[in-house]
Amino acid sequence: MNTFAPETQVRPTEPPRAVRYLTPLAAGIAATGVIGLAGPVGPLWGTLVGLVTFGALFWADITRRILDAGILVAAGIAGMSYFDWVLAGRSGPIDFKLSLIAAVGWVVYGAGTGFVIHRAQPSYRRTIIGAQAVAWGGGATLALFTATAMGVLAPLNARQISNGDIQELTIGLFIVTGLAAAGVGLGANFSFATRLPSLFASGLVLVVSVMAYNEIKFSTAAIATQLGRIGEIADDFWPPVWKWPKSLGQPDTFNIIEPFIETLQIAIIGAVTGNLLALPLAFYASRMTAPSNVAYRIAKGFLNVVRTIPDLVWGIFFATAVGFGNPFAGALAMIMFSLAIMAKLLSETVDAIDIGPLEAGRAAGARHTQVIQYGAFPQVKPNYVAYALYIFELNIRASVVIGFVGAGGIGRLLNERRNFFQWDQVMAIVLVIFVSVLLIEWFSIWARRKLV
Amino acid sequence: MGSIEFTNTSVTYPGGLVALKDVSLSIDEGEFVVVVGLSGAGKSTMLRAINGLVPVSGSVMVDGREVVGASQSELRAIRSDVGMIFQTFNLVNRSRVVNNALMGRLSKIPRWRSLLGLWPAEDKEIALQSLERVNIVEKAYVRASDLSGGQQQRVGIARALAQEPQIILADEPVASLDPVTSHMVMRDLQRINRDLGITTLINLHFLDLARQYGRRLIGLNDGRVVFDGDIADVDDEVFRGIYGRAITPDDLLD
Ligand SMILES: Nc1ncnc2c1ncn2[C@@H]1O[C@H](COP(=O)(O)OP(=O)(O)OP(=O)(O)O)[C@@H](O)[C@H]1O
Ligand SMILES: [Mg+2]
Repeated sequence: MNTFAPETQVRPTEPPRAVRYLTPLAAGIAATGVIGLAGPVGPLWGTLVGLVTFGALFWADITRRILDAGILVAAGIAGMSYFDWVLAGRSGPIDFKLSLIAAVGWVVYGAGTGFVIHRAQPSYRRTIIGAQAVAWGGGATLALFTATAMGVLAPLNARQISNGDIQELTIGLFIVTGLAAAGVGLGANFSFATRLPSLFASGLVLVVSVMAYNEIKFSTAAIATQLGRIGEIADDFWPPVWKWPKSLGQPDTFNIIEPFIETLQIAIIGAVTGNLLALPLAFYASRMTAPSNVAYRIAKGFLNVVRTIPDLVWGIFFATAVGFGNPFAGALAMIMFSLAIMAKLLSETVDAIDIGPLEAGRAAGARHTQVIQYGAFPQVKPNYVAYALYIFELNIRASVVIGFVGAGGIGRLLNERRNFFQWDQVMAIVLVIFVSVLLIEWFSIWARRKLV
Repeated sequence: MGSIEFTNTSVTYPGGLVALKDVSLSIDEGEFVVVVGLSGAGKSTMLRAINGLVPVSGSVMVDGREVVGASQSELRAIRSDVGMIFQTFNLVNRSRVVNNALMGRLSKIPRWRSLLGLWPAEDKEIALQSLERVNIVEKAYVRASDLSGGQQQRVGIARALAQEPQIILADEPVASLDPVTSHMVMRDLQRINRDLGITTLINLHFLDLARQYGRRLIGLNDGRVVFDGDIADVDDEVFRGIYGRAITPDDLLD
């Protein structure tokens, strides 16, 4: 005896969501990234990429038809075979230009992906075909470049390993800094446990200030002298020089673009990986969502230590571990840098969430991880996206700096030109950095406003 | 299916406060029970003892399964059969209505599926049917925060229904709603109890609502059961036993 009639109610159709456009893109870029690192390409990889894409489309509920899987695999084989053909016929190291040519295969494959999406879901705009094409092409170029820069693809691009002395020195430096950081972390925990934080903090600030004043030998006279030389300095730096020979006896070329892309990659890899790793950590490091008190303390302690180690020290450490000038070192350093910031910001945001939905999830018999994923994460998702973009901005700047200590990227080039006292070339590099940081910041601010 | 049995049940909160004192009573399958009492009498505590959300001692049997001393996975199994409705709805405001309803299905799907967000079609269907049952399916893809209070509470009910529960616990489900909406939500709950035979326990503040919708009434005072019987038998004396004073207009909704 139903007093209501469900059959008279109209179910709305599910509207398309932005995340559904993005899922195949993300899967595609990840797949090409992995394949770029794996080196040899061919029909087998093409099949794999087609299947990965189909998996993403399956997940996003866009298509579950076998025919679409067939189209994607066929397109994957075609794209990969072209890619392979370009690379096999190369006459030298894989550079930016060759990567672009090879990526055309992926542009075609991306368009195929877009076509399948549009075919399966006519409500999705036609521009998705173009968007997919561009993203796959970009992803492939990036992947290829990363693989080259990291010396995976060809020994041609391998970089020399530093000598043992420097290694020992930097490892020692790392250990000392690590111990100091751990000491500060322990001290802070102790002072909070004993409820004497203010005493501890003021003491610390006092001691550090006195030490700093002694060390720097602060002098206004020096500043005045330098200010008097400003015209002289400007002459050295202006006008900027954009081209110089790569090595002695070679013609002038524009050498900034490759290390610049390397820096961009370091920043992207660092931000993406670090932000992903920070996600579970942040929920462990908040009392609201930690599975237990022990887990909370371990996560919090780990973050305290990671956070007190500066990005430069991470750069030195990883440059020692994986080789000087290797961008992989920069990427690892940026991962730690991003992880520390994100985990701290996010865990503090999680502290302030509404626990009602968590209680509802628990009462419904959900597991702890499910409660976090479905009850807590949606509450902090906009913050997470905003922090991630902000961290990407920070990473661009930080990855320039860590190039100075041997972590690859444009910082390495800047340091090299500076050592040759080529101030006008330094100026050109600085201008490139300045403009691109500005552009990325604008993009990031725009994206944050769109997404939040 | 859907029976509850308290035997010498007590709840002692960390800090030592005993909020439920030696309660023994049993509730049969399909009953519609209203729990009343002053603020702080232990109404919420009693409901939360049933799904093990509070530290409980003695014995609480839900469908023949013991809550006291149950392991985490046993507790999850019991909870997945017990739907809960809250005074403040406890929806994920940023999520869509249908996703809130799907939270009721979390305990029913494998872990890898929930991790990847790959909901089986049957579970989506159950969530949509639950929304249909409370007449809110047309808002399925709207953000929960964009609904009115009454609509939000219906989503809360749909989330509980999506569990396909044997028991529904409603902790002051209408306390933050206006009188008209309150009656609508109460009617929803009554109808669900009647049509689906789900055992229903509701905490209420207002006595007339209890009279209008309840059959059996449990009165709590300072953690003890001071009345348990037919709602028709509630007179001024019984009321005084529960509330320590006579009925005033404040105890009535309209
Ligand atoms: N998590 C807790 N920790 C400690 N004490 C608690 C906790 N929750 C409730 N209490 C105490 O237990 C007693 C009973 O609380 P309970 O929430 O069950 O009352 P209630 O009848 O639901 O009241 P209300 O009508 O205000 O919701 C109160 O004295 C309360 O302060
Ligand atoms: Mg209560």
